[in-house]
Amino acid sequence: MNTKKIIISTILVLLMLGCDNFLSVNPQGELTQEAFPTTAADALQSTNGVYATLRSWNYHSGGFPILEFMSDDAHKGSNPNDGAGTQGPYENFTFTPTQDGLDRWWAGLYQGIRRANVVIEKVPAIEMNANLKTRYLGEARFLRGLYYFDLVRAFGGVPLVTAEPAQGYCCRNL
Amino acid sequence: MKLSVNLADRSLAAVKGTALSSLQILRWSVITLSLCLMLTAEGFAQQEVRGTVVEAGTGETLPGVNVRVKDTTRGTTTDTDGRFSIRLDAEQTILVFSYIGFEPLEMDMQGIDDDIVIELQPVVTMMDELVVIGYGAVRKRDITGAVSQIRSDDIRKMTSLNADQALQGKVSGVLVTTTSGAPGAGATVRIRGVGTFNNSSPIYVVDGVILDDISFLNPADISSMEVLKDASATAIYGSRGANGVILVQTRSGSGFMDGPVVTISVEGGIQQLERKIDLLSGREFAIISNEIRPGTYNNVDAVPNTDWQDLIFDVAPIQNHQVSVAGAGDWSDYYVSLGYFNQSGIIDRSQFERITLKLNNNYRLGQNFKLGNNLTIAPYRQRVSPNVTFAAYRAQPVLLPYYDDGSYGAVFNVGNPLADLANSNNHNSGVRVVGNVFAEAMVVNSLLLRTSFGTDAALNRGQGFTPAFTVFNPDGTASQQTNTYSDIFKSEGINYTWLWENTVNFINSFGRHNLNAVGGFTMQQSRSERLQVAGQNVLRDGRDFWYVRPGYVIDEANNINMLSSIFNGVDPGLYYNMISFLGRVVYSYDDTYLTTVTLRRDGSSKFSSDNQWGYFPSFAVGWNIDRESFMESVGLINDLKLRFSWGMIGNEKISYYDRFSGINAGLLAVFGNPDAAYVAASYGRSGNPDLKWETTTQTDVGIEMSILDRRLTFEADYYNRVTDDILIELATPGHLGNGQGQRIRYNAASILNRGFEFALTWQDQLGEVGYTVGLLGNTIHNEVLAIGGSSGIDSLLIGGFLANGQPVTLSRVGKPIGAYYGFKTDGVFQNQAELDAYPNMALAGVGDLRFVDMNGDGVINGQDRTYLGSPIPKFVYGFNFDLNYKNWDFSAGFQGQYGNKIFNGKNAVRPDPYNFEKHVWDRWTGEGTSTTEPRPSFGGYNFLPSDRFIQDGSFVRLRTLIIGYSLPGTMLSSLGITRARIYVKGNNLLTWTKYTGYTPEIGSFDVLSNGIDSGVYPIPRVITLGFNTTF
Repeated sequence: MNTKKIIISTILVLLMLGCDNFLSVNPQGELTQEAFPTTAADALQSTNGVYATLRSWNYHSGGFPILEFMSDDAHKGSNPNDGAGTQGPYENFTFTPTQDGLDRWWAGLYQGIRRANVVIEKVPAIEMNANLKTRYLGEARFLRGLYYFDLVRAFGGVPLVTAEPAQGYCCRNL
Repeated sequence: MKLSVNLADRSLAAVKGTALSSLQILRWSVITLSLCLMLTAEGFAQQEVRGTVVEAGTGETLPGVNVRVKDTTRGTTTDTDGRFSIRLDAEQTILVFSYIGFEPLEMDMQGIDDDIVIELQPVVTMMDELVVIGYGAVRKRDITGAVSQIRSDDIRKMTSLNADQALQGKVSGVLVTTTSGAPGAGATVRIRGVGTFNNSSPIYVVDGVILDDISFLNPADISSMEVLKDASATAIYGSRGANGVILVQTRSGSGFMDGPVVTISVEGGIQQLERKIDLLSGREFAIISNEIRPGTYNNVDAVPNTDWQDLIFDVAPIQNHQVSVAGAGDWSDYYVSLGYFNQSGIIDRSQFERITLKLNNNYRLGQNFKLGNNLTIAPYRQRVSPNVTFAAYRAQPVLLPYYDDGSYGAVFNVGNPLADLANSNNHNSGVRVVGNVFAEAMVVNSLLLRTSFGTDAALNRGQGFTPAFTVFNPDGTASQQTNTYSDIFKSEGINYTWLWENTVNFINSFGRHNLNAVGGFTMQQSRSERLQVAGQNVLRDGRDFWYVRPGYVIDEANNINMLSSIFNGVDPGLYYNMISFLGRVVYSYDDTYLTTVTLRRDGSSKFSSDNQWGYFPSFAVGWNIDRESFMESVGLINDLKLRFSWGMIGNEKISYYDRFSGINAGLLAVFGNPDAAYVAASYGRSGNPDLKWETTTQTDVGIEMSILDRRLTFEADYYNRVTDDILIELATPGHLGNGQGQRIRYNAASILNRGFEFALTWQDQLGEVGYTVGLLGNTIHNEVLAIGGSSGIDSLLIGGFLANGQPVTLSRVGKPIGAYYGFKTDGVFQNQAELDAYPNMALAGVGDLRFVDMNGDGVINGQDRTYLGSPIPKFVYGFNFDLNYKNWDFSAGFQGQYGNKIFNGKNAVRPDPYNFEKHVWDRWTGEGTSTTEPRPSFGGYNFLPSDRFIQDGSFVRLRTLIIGYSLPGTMLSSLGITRARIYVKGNNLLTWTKYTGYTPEIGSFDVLSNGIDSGVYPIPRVITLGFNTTF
């Protein structure tokens, strides 16, 4: 009886020692943000990522009501009904805070800024060719400046975010 | 010569159904002994008999036992020490001992001169039956939780693929809603309301394996199902039991000691559409179209009249057969069964076919050691048809399905449903293997050690092929319903879960104390992988060519594109590990005062290491009032129990990926001259490492009663369950750079479900007619208590998107989940004066609906939308009636719901000229013609989400009706057959409802889209004929 008890408890103890590892499961087929960018190839891809914002619809076509209609570069045109509710108000400066397009412009630009911050914060630590590194950092800084320029032109004073926040999802009072 | 009943023995034997016989042996040996004594001793003229009466098993002395000389009026009672003495004369030597709650005992006292000990057996009632409650079995009288049981006979009343269909209308508190009538479609099961915004389904435990569905299991292999509803019963399952637990016991061979028993069951029948929707005929549609767009049809009497519903629905066969063999020997028992189920759909090209092989064996190796296995292997094949219900609903009745040359006729904007069906080939197939092996050892006569290794493995394959085809317009040009290149889609997925459980069960009773305790440790792992590929331009249409080769699509620039898409990854809900520790103590004193305490500690890999572990305690008390001394005089009441429970249980059915912040590796940057694309990657979605379990805190107060010799039983509960820390996605400030519209999961919502449940059963015998009548029901009050932020966009959850992208449900604090939201209507503008007098949108005209200005601001806009009703019923009920007379048996089961509303989504989506429902015929055509139905139009203002599309979804349905005849035993025994029965069965025969759609049962696995009818595959009426025999 005693030996049985010893055997059983030993098995249980061994199992529990193996426990902690058993409960950590890594994501499959996906990198996590802790692990990227960490190599020279990652540094190149993450810098290209900052450029990718320039290709996103929100940037290359989504800003036209703000930048073009509200300046003297262009009129809305087309027939009066076309986009009367969505883009028309920019023409007359009668847009509301929830106007279609404002959140896309804001969110899209800050996403570009975040991508630039990732490069600026994490690439210096990577072991790689010094010239390439300087180039990547320079490109990221320039693009970040461009995105802030676009934000300020549209909204005036905006939050300055130059580093990844301690908790990327933070700032909720629940 | 006392024998203590060892309940541990009963757990091994009694759970499997054999009666314990050693007490019987004892009793008979006492009688034999006294007979021998009588034969050898000389009779005396008068003798005095003295003795003590005790309770068999516990040895407790019983005062007040009635001791009477048989056939006389002479008698006495035992004193406070259970002792008695009585004089007998030579003729009457038999004493009769009787006492409430015990079997009466007659004993011949002749020749006995010593003090004798008389043992009285307690009456074995259904309160002594063991009920399986998860990691053990407990006597029904000791249960302190809300547990309902449904037995095999009731399970087999529904001819269906899945046994959970049998629960509806038979178990209070459970709502089973079919999501679709298509063969193989699942149903949503909700126990005590809708618990969360995420997965609200209960878990099933089959053969020791914890599962999410039981579609692989042949209902004929099930001996009983127990539904655990409250915290006391489900807490032992900790972080998975928040939505209830359904235990499924499969059959075994024990009890069949007299040689193998073979059972054959054959059933086949037809299914048909229960009701059609009333749509406009060709002529009526032409008239209405001319009102909307004058001149569309020159001669309304000459237009064709196509009934598209008749074309797509047909009568379809269904069959369900099974053969099983069960037997037991000295050291083992076995149950082997083979089942075959085949259901064709009432819409063409839909079907489900399944074979189930079940092997359940138990081996007794030695007195105290047992091995066993339970295994089910279930291959299946399924064909899924495209959703032509919605197409047939919308297709204009003035169009022809075929042209004169036999080719498909074009149906504008909708597509010819017959062409869609003919060109669809969607096949799924696979195998599911579920089972376990286990070993049990009895140690020191009251400790049962058990270890069990179970697995749930599935291999699923899917393929879909659409050939290139064109449906032509009448003028010969190609219509929109054209597939330029053939498409092939293939997927392969494999997932498996293993579960290793180790428990120690301690069952003992000493004196009046009864203890049933269990402690355990479990580990579980779940893994999955899926591969999906799609290609185009397959060489030929035949099945032999349905493979994804570098088939190619040539685009305008003459580029060849290879595989058009590929996906390879894991199923995010099926990739995790879990460890659990569990413990439960069930204690009863004198079978009267009961308590159950449970604690479970779970760790899951789905949460980060700080939040991995959770504690789920529960506490319950019960009082068997019928055992109290003050209840002895109340002969009317046989059993009366009051119980109360409280507990916390968890839900962790989220994607394993939600806590990780990932990288988006699919970006592109363009540089150079000429432009070239370069791969890019950067931070993608943000995860929340602070995620933890959803927790449900449930309180339950219940009463169970049976009276009039247990002919009437009644059970009622009040339940209150609050689910906190519900995982929902909320938006984050844009400057954090997550991208536009990105949301992150937080534990940030709360939902309340509460209500009453009751079940009343009357069972009696009137001469040769035996009958049972059952009535049950439950109320549900569902309310969202909190969502994310207290105001703004995150205090609402918008859902229920229709085909045109319009949302119709809004979940917010104070209202039920998935509540409908839209405009309230108040009649039709009869004339211009009315139009001018009341606020309306610019688009409204005379004859259009008047929307109520809810906020009184003089403008009709989005702010005037309001709560329009809930998809969750307020009251769910069932009524069952069973009758048997000689060899005939009859059974009818009704189910009903009240208070739920349905959103007729298919009526509301109308961007193009579609057919209308019949009520449109009563339209407004001038002042005073209609106050409810506006002037007809093809979409637009009158089709904004409003209560025009909300209909009452209450219904009563005759769910099962069975008439059976068992062939007389005399005829059978000569053939060596034990039982043979032939029956006629009908399922879903009649439905009484005000809803105008095919069926008022509109379920959805997405709790925010509940109750929205977007063209659901109708649930058919099934009529079958069956025969089963046992020999």
